[in-house]
Amino acid sequence: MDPLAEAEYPAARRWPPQLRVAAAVAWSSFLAACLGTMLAFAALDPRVIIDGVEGGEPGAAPWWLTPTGIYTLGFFLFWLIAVAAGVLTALLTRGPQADGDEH
Amino acid sequence: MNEGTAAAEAVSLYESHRKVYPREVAGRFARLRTLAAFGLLGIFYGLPWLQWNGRQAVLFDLPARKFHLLGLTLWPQDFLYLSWLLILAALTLFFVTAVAGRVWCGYACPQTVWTEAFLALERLVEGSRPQRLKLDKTPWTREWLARKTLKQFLWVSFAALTGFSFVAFFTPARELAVSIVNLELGGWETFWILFYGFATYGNAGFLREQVCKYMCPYARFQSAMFDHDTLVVSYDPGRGEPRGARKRGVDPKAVGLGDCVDCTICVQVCPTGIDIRKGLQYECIACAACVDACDDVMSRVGYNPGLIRYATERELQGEKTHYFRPRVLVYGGLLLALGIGFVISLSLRQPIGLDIIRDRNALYRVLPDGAVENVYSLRILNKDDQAHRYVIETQPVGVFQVDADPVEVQAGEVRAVAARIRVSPGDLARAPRDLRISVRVADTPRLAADHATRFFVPELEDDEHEGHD
Repeated sequence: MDPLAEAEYPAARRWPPQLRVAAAVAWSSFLAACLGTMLAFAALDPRVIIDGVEGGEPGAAPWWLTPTGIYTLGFFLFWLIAVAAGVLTALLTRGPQADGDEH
Repeated sequence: MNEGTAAAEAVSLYESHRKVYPREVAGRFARLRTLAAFGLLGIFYGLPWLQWNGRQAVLFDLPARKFHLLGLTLWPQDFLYLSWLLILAALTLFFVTAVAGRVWCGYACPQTVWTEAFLALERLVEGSRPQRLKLDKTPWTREWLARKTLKQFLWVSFAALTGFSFVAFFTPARELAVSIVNLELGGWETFWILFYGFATYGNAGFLREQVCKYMCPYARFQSAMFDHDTLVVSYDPGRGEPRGARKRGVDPKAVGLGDCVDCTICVQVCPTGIDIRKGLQYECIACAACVDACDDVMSRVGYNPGLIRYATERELQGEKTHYFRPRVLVYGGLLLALGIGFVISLSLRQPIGLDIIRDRNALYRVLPDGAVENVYSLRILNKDDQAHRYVIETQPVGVFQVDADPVEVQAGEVRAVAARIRVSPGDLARAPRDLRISVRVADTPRLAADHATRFFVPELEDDEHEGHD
């Protein structure tokens, strides 16, 4: 093949395996967190939590404890849990052979 | 571009950057892609500003826990519709994938659309592919710095606008804009604008095709929906091979060559940096940029277009494509059935929610005149967009006397009312123990909801006698 043509190939960037696993874990757990947040908050009204914290004293809750705040924290909590599961899966499926290959 | 600079650029490409510099492409699929991108981005940035009956037409009002979609208001109780919609969306994706491959990836996926938008801004500032390659070859010059700064400025602004537009689907856009101008933006809104803007910048400006290659689950399981009759972007090796450069006007058959002139333009335009001539690869997002590029080359060298085209595997092997095959019929049938069911169910949906709670302490009360009374707590939810007066009734009618005034419930409100239901002494023996309590809108009888419950009576001595006989 013509070396010039060969050189014109925009060689795709390839990621190292660790980065690939990290990206896959981050993204798949993000999708899981979206689903979890939707299901959880379809059943749970954040007002219940706010009312519980305020204990009949409107305005007693801290500024960040709003419905939007609870949805946000809930979402990131789900994400964190899903990331934990993903990291464990990645760790357990590595296997001794794969470990050896890397060194 | 002369050959010397091309080689020099390519060297820097390999050794330091290894970055994909997609070459710009023109043609019918490129036009279609631009059209789709403008349409979808237009919807995303424009929809929050559309008004409907004095409120935002599409607003996912999470704090108030209701979704406004044009004239429809959905409540947490309507969660079923949301899941139904998600299932429909997934089935549509399966169906389209089975028939026409990854058209979703090429034309409609937000990752593709925003990457295109970011690339367009990049081209605007840094020029065409050769100009970009040349610019990156000599970094830290005055021109390089100016162009990079301007590009980053445009990218960050565009990402911030995207973050704003995203939050405007959850917080009314007008209020959001006013609070930004007055510097009164709430903490969480600020967080989400920044977070979404950052995600947009990262995905469309920085990660680009890596998201499709390493992170997208659809790219991995799409092969399960593919078969020999699926339309995919393919290179026709039967026609193209053996590939090779040739002089203008030479009959390829005479020199033992196929139609592929090996110009590698198809590789240069590829946003994921693959060579379509190696066959179907999971990195291919079916954007058809190589189809446009190859058709252009073919017309310039005087060959027929379609060396790279949307084709099925069967077609390339010279067989007939089966369009109506079990896979397509099953996906299509399911999609049709669920879609019709969804529309019917949504049109029959009653904008009333009714719950009945019984008083557990006293099942019944015997009144001085001998009548028996049961008290029910009703919770009426008005899911409509306007206030209604509700009348409380029983089924069957006749023996049950309802003592409850019509109730007025504001749009989106819940009201608890007590309904006393009585049976006179003479009717006790024939009154059924099961009844339905219904509420209906006073001026629109077809808007109604009902709920089954029980009517308790004291054990009657007469009944017992009859029972023993």
